[in-house]
Amino acid sequence: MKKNIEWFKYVATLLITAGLFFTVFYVTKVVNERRFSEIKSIQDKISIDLLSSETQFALLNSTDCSINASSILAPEIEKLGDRLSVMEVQLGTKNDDVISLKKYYSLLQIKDYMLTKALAARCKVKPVTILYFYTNDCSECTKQGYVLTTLREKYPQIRIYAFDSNLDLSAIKTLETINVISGERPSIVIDGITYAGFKSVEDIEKALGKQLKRLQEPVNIRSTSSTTSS
Amino acid sequence: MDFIQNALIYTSLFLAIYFQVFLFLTYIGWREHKDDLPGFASEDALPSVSIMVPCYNEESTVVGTIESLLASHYPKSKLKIVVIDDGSKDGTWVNVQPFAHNSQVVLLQKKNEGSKFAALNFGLRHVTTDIVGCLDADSSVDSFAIRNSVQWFSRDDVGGVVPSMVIDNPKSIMQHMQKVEYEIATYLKQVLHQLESLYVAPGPLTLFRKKVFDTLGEYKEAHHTEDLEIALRMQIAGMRLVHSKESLVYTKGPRTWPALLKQRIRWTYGFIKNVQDYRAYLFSAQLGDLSFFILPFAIISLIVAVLMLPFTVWQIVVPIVTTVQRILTVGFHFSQPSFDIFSIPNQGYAWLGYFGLLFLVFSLVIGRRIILKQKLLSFDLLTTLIYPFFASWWTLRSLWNAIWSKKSSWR
Repeated sequence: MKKNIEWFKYVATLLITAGLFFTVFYVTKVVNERRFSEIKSIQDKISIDLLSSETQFALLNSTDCSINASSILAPEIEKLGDRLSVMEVQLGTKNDDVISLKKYYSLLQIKDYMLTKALAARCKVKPVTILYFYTNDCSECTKQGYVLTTLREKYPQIRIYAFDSNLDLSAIKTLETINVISGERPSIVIDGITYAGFKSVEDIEKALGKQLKRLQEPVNIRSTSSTTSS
Repeated sequence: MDFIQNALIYTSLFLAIYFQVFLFLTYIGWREHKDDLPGFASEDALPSVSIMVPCYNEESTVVGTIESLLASHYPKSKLKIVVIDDGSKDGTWVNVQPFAHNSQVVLLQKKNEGSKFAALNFGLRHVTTDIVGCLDADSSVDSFAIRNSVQWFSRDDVGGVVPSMVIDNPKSIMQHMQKVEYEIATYLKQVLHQLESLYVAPGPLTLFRKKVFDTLGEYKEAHHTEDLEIALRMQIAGMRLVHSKESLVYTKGPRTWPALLKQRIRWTYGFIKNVQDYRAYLFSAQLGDLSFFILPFAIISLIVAVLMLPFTVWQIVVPIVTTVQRILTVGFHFSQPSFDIFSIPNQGYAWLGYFGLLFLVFSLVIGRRIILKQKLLSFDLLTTLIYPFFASWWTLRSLWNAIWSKKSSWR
């Protein structure tokens, strides 16, 4: 006895499943396009922020210390840093848009770092800054990311600037040269001294020394970006 | 490597969703079934039934099993309980003696041969009723289960009736996991019923016409999955196997992971070997959807489960390793959670996974809510998160055993 097979149902199932797949791929594409569009708008904002930063930097050379440059860049850097982390995870570290955005992000951080140093020199404040050089393929860097994220939450006033050494960006290379960064990653720079290899929370607190005590006092410095490798 | 991984993930998702859509279309009545259940006109017309209870070292549960059968709403003169003590070394035989004078109960004893099918065949030789079934000695029945199932025999073409199974009083995580699994399986059984493709006649309370065995012969060893083999033999012989969704049987699931693993290796190994034995019927018009779709997909799902094991393990292990690494690095210091719409995954497989989840929820609603009339939401649903890992593992072990012909044991 032969049983009836409804071949039409098999074909209909195939069409529905294929339709579902095409819909998902289409929606994914649209959402990604929207996200890229949002990223591009952030890029535009970064460009303006960069210009604003430079202008403010120039203005500060001829004015007093009443201007607080922190309010301009910090929120955008933080937002960009967080979204960069997400996009890196979702689209991969080799995605062209992600790389392009990271370059902008790195340039912005360098500018902010320079501005902070200039403010410190002119206005006699001593912001606590950490330069952090990492690569995405280094396991110790992942651990270092946890440490720096913890420190940032513990001491919100610390400004941490994170740089991906594998980014093809001459400004990062120059920053590495200035700070005598060797081949080892992670590397961090605290108060002009370079520390190669992984450093724990305690190591960094020890390296920061007296600077940490100052953080208890009300000072004119602010927290900044996330570390994209954390 | 990325290409191979993506190809594997998307192929698996396509097959899984295809299967679910097919079941969904079938369930919502794509094909109209004229399975009107005439039922028996009166109690006098009801057929006589024997329920065999094979037991081996079941001293703590066998009495409850017999009592649940005796409490069935079925004419006492037409219901026999055949207890088969399969050479128990504990107090099973002593514990069943109080039933020795009950006219509904027949007590039999045999030497243990290390397999359930031998005990069942021993019992079959003592059965003279129209209908015969089996109930494991650690299971119990709803008082209307037998009556509901028997109604199906009012149709001449029905050879066997499969019940809905519920995990009784789950305590361990493994049992809660099985509870959810059985509830989803109830939906699957219903769809297989509609497709006339049921290929397992579970030990707990599947009822058969006695003439099924008279015609096809007794149970076979069948790699310790005699319940699967007899179902395939019935399908090949053109005898209908149906699902009586209202017939509830309560069974104990293995409590521990080693016990569950052993059971599932036996089931999966038995499935593979039986399909191998009956491979001539794959893609045969004689068996319809069963041979063209259900069995091939069941085989494919085994392969997919194994291939996806590394991915499944990866999905589970990575967050654990990351958390442990973070704790070892900075101690118990966790960031305050924050939400950004950007953080919602937008990969294609994530969206397809959500669709898969929707079908899972649909299966659960039908199985748990509509058929079994149970609460839809409960904490044991969380076990579905770990189920794929366990299922992949027992599938891998079963395939390994099948490749090397390493037999699984009954106990």
